[in-house]
Amino acid sequence: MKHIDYKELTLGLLFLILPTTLIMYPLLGFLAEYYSLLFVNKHLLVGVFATGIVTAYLLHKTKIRFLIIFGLLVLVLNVVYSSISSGSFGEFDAYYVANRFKINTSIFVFGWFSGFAISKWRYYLIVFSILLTTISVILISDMEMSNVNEMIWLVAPAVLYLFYGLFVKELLKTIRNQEKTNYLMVVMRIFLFSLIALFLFWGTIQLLDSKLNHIQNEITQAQGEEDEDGSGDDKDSDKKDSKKDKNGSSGAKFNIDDYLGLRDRLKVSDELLFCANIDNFINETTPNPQYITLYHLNQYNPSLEQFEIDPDSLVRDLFLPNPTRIPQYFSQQNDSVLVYDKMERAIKEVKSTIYIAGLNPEVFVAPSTAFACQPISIEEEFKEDYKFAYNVYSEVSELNSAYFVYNTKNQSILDYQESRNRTLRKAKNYDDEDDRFMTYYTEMPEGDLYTKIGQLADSLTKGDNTAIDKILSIRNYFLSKDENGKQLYTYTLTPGKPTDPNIPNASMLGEFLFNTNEGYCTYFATSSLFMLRSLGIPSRVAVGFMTVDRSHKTPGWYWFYADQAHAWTQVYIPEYGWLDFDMTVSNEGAEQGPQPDGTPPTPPTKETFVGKGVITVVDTISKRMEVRLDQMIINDNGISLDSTDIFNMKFDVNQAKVFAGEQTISLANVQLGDTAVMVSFDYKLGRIRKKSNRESIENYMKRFPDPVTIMEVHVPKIEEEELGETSEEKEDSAIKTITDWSIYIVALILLVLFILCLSPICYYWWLSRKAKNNNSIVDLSEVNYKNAHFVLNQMGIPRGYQTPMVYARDRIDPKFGTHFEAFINIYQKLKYSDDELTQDEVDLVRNFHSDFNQKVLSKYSKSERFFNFIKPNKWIHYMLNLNLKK
Amino acid sequence: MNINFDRLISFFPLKRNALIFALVLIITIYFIKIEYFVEEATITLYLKLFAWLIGTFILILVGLGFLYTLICYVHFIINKKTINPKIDIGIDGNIKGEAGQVPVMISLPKALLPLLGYITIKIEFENGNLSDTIVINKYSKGFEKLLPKEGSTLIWLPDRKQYHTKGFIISFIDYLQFFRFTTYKKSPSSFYLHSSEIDIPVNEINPSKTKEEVEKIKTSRKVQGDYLNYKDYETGDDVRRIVWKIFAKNRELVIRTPEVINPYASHIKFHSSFYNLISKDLTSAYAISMLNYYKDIVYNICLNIKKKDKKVEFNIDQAVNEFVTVSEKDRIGFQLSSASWQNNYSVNELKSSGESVICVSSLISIEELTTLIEKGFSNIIIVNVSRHLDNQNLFNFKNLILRKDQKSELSKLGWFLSSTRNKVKKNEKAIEELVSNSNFIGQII
Repeated sequence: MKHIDYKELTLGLLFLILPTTLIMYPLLGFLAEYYSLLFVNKHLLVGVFATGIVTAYLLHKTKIRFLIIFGLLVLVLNVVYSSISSGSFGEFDAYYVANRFKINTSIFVFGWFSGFAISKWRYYLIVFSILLTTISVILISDMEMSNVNEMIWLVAPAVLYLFYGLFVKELLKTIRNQEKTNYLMVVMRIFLFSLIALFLFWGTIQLLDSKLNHIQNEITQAQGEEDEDGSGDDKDSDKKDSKKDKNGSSGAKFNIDDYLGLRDRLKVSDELLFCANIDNFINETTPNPQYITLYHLNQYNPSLEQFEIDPDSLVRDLFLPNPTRIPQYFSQQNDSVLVYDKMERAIKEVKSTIYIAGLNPEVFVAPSTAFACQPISIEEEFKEDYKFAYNVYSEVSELNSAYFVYNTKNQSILDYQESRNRTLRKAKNYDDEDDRFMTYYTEMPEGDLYTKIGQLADSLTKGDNTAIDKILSIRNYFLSKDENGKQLYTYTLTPGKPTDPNIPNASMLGEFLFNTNEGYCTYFATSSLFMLRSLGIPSRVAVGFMTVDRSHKTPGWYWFYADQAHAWTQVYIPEYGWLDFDMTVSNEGAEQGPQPDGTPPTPPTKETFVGKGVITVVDTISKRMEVRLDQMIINDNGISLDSTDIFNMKFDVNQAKVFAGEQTISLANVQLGDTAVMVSFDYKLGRIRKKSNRESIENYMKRFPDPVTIMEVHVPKIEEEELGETSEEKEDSAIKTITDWSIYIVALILLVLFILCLSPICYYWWLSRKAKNNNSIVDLSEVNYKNAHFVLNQMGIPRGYQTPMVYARDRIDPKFGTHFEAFINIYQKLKYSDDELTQDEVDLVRNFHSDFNQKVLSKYSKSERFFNFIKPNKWIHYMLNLNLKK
Repeated sequence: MNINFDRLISFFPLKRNALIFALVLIITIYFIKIEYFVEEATITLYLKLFAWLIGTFILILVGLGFLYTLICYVHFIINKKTINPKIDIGIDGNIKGEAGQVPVMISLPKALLPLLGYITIKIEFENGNLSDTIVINKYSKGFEKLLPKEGSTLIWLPDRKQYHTKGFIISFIDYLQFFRFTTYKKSPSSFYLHSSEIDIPVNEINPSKTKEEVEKIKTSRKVQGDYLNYKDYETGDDVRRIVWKIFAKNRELVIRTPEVINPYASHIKFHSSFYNLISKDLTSAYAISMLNYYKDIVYNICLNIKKKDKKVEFNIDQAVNEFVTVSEKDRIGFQLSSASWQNNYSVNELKSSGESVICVSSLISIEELTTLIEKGFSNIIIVNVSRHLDNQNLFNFKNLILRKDQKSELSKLGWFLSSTRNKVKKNEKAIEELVSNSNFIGQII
């Protein structure tokens, strides 16, 4: 009798043929759509395929010969064909019927062949699934959907099937010769594999997240371009519209990483990130805008053509607080940056007020060199537009200005520029500078390209003696026009990839300088940086925001949109510090502003009293609070209280709003012991002034009303951190969090392992103690019983399902020469009968513990004993079987 | 030296799956590159995206399997000394089984099983052959659930003979069967496979010679303490048999055990000859197949005789490789397993010591048989060994539709066309003629 393997047949049908049919569903759906003219039904197609594959599979698995299988196929086709042709159709119908028949037949034959081949050839599935995946990928790619994620999940089934089929086929092959098959195990394995594969696929997506995002951007861009090509309408607006549609309201936020390196495309959006009031004027009326700096980039990676923040930078003149962590109205200050910024002449202090809209409020933006940050409240009517606001105090060079390349007709600005150049020509040269400083900031990568850049810089600055002249020459080079009167360098967000295939390792930078002359800010900044450095002028690249003075209605106010994110060159001039020299040629789009600037937010009402301290009483009924104050600001005079001076103050919070971070919460949610900032705008309080400097704070405070009426209570979401001296750079906070997390998890796992390893030893010790200190013979026997089982279990001789007696008699006593059997006898006697023990028996129980342990453990070497004891698997085994042992 | 390619291949770390997978993948990528990467189009972006995604996914999935398998392999290599594979054949004490699909169980305690993967074991025999693959697939109960304990598989060992294993080829395979890390573990052992019981018609066979064998109890020896031929007196024993001498000596009542007389013509002496002059190559596939059949027949004739409560003294015409002592019951199967065709010891050289039955195959030459019949042996059984191969009817309707079971059958067409068949058939015809023309006592099966 021929041996037909029914289990393999069934499992194959269920786990191989069924998924194959299902996986064909979308593919056949495509086909049906493609032939929709013929009214082909997708379900019918799948049905045809399923019939084919199942029949062929069944036939082959029941050991029917190949010729018969294909003979049958031909027969079936013949019958169907003749039945169709026998029917009478009109001429028009005939076309449909013939074509539909063709499609159905092909699908059927394909299914038939697949069913046969899956059963017969081991390697067919590899070919089949790769083919299937490829077709799916091509078809889905062809759909050109804009959402990458959706596409990935469309293609996922095919990709997963690729390995699923392979796994199941091999699994079924291995169970073929088994005597008895554990079907549950087979099914479990299949499910487990599917789960693992799915999880890994998900993991892959997570892993490739940034890469996928990058491609998503490219795709969006490419589609944007396509739209442009198609419509040919007004270029700018069309582009923006299409982008807006694709990104939806969630919007593509600006990404500072894009400005770190040279890419073939740069994507920008026009979201309002923040607005700022920079109190810096050339004379009383002409505003002097300052660029907003985020970071200084000092490290360059030539192979990636990308800048990085150097954590070990020589010059620590970046003040990077997290504004959301500073208590409202109190300022965080870092004076050390003022030493490092190396400014000695022409300094002034500039106060700016930043109103954050789209930007993450944790990111600190300010004109350089900022040294203090003070969060302030926002007026009610502007709260919808802005999430956060703070004052920034910066030390700014009088010579620094965003006006460097703008064409302006304002005479005062022109005068200012001229005078500035004059001043700078008189500046000292770099001879007195620190060598380390100079080498750090004039460092260039090696390579032909950089030599070439140096040569270019030399040729441009022939005859220039001062640094400022050289800078101006380079700027003029970028602004120069070619022989046709066209701009030599143009600004573009899509400079594209190096196209010349003859240049090996074609670099974006080389491409920009010596071929296309098209690029965005980072290109200009990078090229000018290396030109300047090759000339021995210390320079660096800064990223942040370009400040554009678009309107004269509100002098000093500037609006920052995402497309104003910028990179530019900063040059160090002795005594004057780092000055911004933006070499980027003008980008009309950004200067125009995507939308008209809004109305500047009105400054909040002057706070007359601010007190910070720990909440001691919250009375939600009468709306009173008591706070133990340690810091106060009264009429802009900060008063820090010593520990001796700290006192409680009562506040009336009837009219007050309570803020936790940016959210408004109710008074009931205020926690005792939290630090609160109490703010009052009551003008009457402003009138209370210190009578003399000598007046003690206690007396002074007595003159304040009791309770003080408070308008705003700020309960920070996060406790404030050390004020003042934090200059910790928190650039890679995201990465840090991840590593933090992983450290926690690893630590937790280690801890669990440690406890797991340690606990058996503790348990052993605990049992020994109990055995020593126990007087009751019943308890003692219980302890001994447990101890014996525990020790034996740890030493690798678990009792399993033997009865204690058999276990003791057959396995333990012969092996170790113990009296375990005798003990078990007594133990059971104690437990199950009321008989009194004889003195001998009592002695045996009393001495059993030490005797047994000594005898058993002496059979093992010290290290063996130790390792056996700490083995977690044995310990878990013992714990799980504890009940059983009793 | 002949190289065993099967063995060599099993030490190659990449399995065919991986090679084919890579090949197809490369072809596909090449095709897509030609087809779609000619010009800068949006679809390229998508294809690149998927290439990244799928490529990484493949790397991760395959990499995971690879690493896991490698770890298990290294773990095994390190603990090789303590892991002793144990082999269990069939049912009886690991040394005996029925040929055909033999259930083999191999246990590998303490080896780690690759994640959803396999450990496969092939037994290497002394002659260099490898057995079918045995997959470790059973898990033990309890905490160490993740550690596989044993694998039981039916492996195809068709020959009724002694198998001497040299060692195990142990492979660790990942879940996709892309990689295989193989190690060798020496573990010599032996077992033998005998024929299974089948129904064959056998004529009544009686012991041919009467021979009285009386074994007399020797007169009591004066041995102290050793009562070889005595037993304690029990009520009911014949009082006259009490040995008073012993009673006088140590006050024990013992009686002399009765004398044993061998029953009259109790044994059937059965001699089977493996004399083969027809087959040119004694180890060809057909010869082996016929040998197995011959062994089956001989084995079952003896079983039949035994069933009729007759004792059989079984002998073959060659030395038996006694690698293990077997019980009287298994003696015939064991002796048969040791036998193989031979062409230098004729059945006629047999020193006649009163054989009841002589069993020969139809591969004996006609001259030999003539001599044998002329000698006047009473009972000669001739086994037509071609019958079993012929029995597979070439034009069986069922065979026309259904495929043959893998491995278990020889090619029928090949047999029908082979010269061996012709020769054997001719010989069998001649034997039949001879038998019908002479005073032959016995039967042809």
